[in-house]
Amino acid sequence: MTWRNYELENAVLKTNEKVTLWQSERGIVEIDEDALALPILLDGERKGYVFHGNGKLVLDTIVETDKGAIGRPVEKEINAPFLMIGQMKEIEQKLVQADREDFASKNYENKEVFRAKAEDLCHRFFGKRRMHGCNCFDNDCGFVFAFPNDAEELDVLVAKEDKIVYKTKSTVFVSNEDKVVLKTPSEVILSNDRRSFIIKR
Amino acid sequence: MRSKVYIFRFVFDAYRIELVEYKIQVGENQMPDELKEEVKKLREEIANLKEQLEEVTEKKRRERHGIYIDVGNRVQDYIEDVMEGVAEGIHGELEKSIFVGPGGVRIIRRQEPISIENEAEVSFQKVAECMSALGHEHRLRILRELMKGGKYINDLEEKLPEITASTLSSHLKVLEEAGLVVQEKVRGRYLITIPGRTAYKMATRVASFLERGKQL
Repeated sequence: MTWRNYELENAVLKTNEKVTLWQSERGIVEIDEDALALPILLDGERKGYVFHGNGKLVLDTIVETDKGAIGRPVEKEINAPFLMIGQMKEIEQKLVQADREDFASKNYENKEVFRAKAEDLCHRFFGKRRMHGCNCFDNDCGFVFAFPNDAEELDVLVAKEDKIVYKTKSTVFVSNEDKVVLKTPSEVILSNDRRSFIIKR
Repeated sequence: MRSKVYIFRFVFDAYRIELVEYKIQVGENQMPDELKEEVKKLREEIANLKEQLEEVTEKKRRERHGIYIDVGNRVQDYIEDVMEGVAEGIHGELEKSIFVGPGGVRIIRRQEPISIENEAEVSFQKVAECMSALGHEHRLRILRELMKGGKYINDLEEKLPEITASTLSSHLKVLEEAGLVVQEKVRGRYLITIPGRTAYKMATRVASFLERGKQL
């Protein structure tokens, strides 16, 4: 674990086709064509992006128990800037330079306004311009997404293959193969291979 | 530790016997002053030994019931208070909880008695929706298949050949809207929910009860 500094690149890019940022049996994060992408550097290396475009987040935050299924899937349209940390070489091939029209199409006067918005998002996510323990992203070990929600907070998704942690203001979902924990405002469900423990609040 | 207890007991008993014998021989009132002083000291010694013996016996007793660590009264009281709080918390949560699992321990949630006032709070529209969703033979068959585990639509088509593909989809939609079934958005499997399972069991039990009533 180390402390690492982050900074944003100068160049702003955009997607030239639809990109699947992460996909597993539990969920998908996709971003459409023409989404703005501002690379994030961690200690000088490109390790993530702030995206702004249309996309979708789908997560099966459902727990199977022998008494029946609990929870509902998450299906959200993305149209606000969000952050992704994690290496993905395929993304690089689907990015081209963004121009003035691309900023205008997202209601930004110019590049700097978008950068300021991205900077604000990063500041909320990283805190005081430093990130703790992101060595794991050196070896393509997973992804972290941060989506701003209506309550001006960040919904965070940490995903590595089928292992997921998804945290919103009211819900926490943790899945690791057959082991699942789901916390909702009314109950906490712990499940291991369909055997479950439910705690009502 | 055990030998220490025996020594205390031995000394304690020896002093007591000696004192009783002396009292018998001369009577307490006729004792010379120096002997009275000696007896007083002996009594104090006995009281002291008795105290030590009680301490050792208490330690022994605690050892028999678990590990005894002398951490002082304040720390011990604090730990006891904390553990009591934790125990009360767990007890409170478990009282409200259910444990489900094949072969696992089951703690059934204590049900509040249903009063007429509480019944009135239930939306009859929701009840009607639920009953309506259950009110079709095909949908009951679908629920029965899903009771065995999550299924893709192809699996359901295979298991229920009497239902056409388009009808199957519309039935699943009705069940999903009523909250009796949920579909995974990524894999596409259909799963029966806890209310779905309960509703199916309730419906089949009512039907079986009515059937038995007819036979009587």
